[in-house]
Amino acid sequence: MAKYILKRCVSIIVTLFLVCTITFIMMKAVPGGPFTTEKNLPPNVLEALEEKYHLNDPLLKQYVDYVKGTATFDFGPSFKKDGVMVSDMIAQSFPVSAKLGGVALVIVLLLGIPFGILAALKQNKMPDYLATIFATLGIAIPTFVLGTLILYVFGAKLGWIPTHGLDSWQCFIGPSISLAGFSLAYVLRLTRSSMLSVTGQDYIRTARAKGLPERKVIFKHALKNALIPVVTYVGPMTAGIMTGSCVTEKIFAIPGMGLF
Amino acid sequence: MNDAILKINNLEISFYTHVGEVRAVRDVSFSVKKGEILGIVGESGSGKSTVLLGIMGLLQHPGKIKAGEIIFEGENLAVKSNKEMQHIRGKKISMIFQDPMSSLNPVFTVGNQIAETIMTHEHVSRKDANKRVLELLELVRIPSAKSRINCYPHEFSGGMRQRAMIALALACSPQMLLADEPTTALDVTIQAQMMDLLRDIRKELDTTIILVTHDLGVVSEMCDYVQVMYGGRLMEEAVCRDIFDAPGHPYTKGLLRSIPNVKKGSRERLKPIEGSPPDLITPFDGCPFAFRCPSTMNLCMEGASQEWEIGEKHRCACHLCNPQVQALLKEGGIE
Repeated sequence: MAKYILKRCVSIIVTLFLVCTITFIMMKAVPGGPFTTEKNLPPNVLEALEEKYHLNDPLLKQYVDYVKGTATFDFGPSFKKDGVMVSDMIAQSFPVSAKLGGVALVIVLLLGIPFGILAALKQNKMPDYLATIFATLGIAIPTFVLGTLILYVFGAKLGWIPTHGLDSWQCFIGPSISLAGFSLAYVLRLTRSSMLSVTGQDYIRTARAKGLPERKVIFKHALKNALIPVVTYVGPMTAGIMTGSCVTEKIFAIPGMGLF
Repeated sequence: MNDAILKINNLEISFYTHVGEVRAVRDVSFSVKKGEILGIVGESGSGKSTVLLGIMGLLQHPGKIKAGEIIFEGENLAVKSNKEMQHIRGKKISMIFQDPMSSLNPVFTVGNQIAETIMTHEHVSRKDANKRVLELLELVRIPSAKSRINCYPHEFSGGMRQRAMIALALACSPQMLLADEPTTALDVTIQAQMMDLLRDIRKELDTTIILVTHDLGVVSEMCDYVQVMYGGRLMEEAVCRDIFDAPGHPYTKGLLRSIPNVKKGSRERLKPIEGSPPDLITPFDGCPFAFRCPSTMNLCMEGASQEWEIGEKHRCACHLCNPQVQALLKEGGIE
């Protein structure tokens, strides 16, 4: 087990290095630069800017500096905000996004998995239909529509939740639901279908043949297998939710990572 | 018949599908004596596995026991609730399934799965349960059992998994073992080992075994008593030797004829039973074999035959065994 974890950690480093390299090459291969705008800057201004951000160094030097910087979490100054370091911006906004994302993640897992199981156990009955309708809606409605609707109905019209910021716990309700919406629906559907396929397996019949109580058959033998695809999905999903969503944060005016 | 451990009376099992009722088991009665190995043979869809699942109370929706009794140790299992059956399954009656590859849960160790059975039915500590698991794995002759306890099923070969399944089934020393084609998914050498193992277990633990199979070779080697099933009905039952030496039912005769002859120099062609098994969804009260039987009479289409005693402990459900019909046939007064 320890060996396996070590192996994975090494592969993380290799992957990150490759990602850095490919990103760098692609950014350099694209025409234009960070200061390309509709209005052409005077050549001497452009030169001064490139000088300031070391953009006229030889490519290899730029690459080495970039990799070195990234490895030490020094991402250099922001191109957009004058005089602000990128790492400071992340340090400020990431906790905000992560806090919101954490709440959304809890909603996804606490509602998605239990209702997915319920839907599978009551296949083709009322709870299943309700869950399926909900899941289909959740996947079909885009985040910007869901967020705007929540904001408009519960924030502006009914005044139940604050419309912006993250100052009190009520503030979390709107953005976390709109952030969780899609993933919640997806996890629910995934849990349901995976649970359905697992409960038809031979080893579930074996578990019943052993005389285990139904509760154990479902929650021990079936669930542990059914959660394998769910866990696989939840991994990348967590990264996606925690690092902030541009749409949700824009709609609810939250100073998170998604705004940059 | 006081020593019968299991007695099944007029068992009817149906699957209520959306296209109609499929009568998978019809009017089946038999009994098993303690310590006996009973073989149930028949082709796919003849209802043999369904009988076993019915005994275990493991029929999947939409299957249901429609009528009849399953008397085990004086209690009718057919009317017991799922909850009551939990105390019988795995403790008094155990089952071994056809495919050992998929019958063990892939995410728990083999030892864990066997220990779980013991701890479900008996109040023993984890440590004692593990000790029993080790004994069981040794009983089913898993090599270096001690190091194998903590293996996951995927680390076992097919034969070893089936051994583990047998160990699992024997965990609480059940009175009865139901084996549903335990060797079908295994290769021939492993098959023979499994059969030896089952025989030894019967000898050592005096376990009653019902063996469902379509392998007549296995039956002739293993069983004391044989039942032939077809289309959900019992066709013939007899002491093992009699089925092979003096089959009474045309279906049994057909089955025996279709065993390939591997004698040297034999260039005989295999004689299959013509036609295909009946569709059990079509309501039909005649003999299910009537459409394929070489000696069908009008009588066979009208109704299935009752069971006729044609020898000592040898019963056969065919109109040809009816003395009256036999007399009429001699006179030529019947078609």
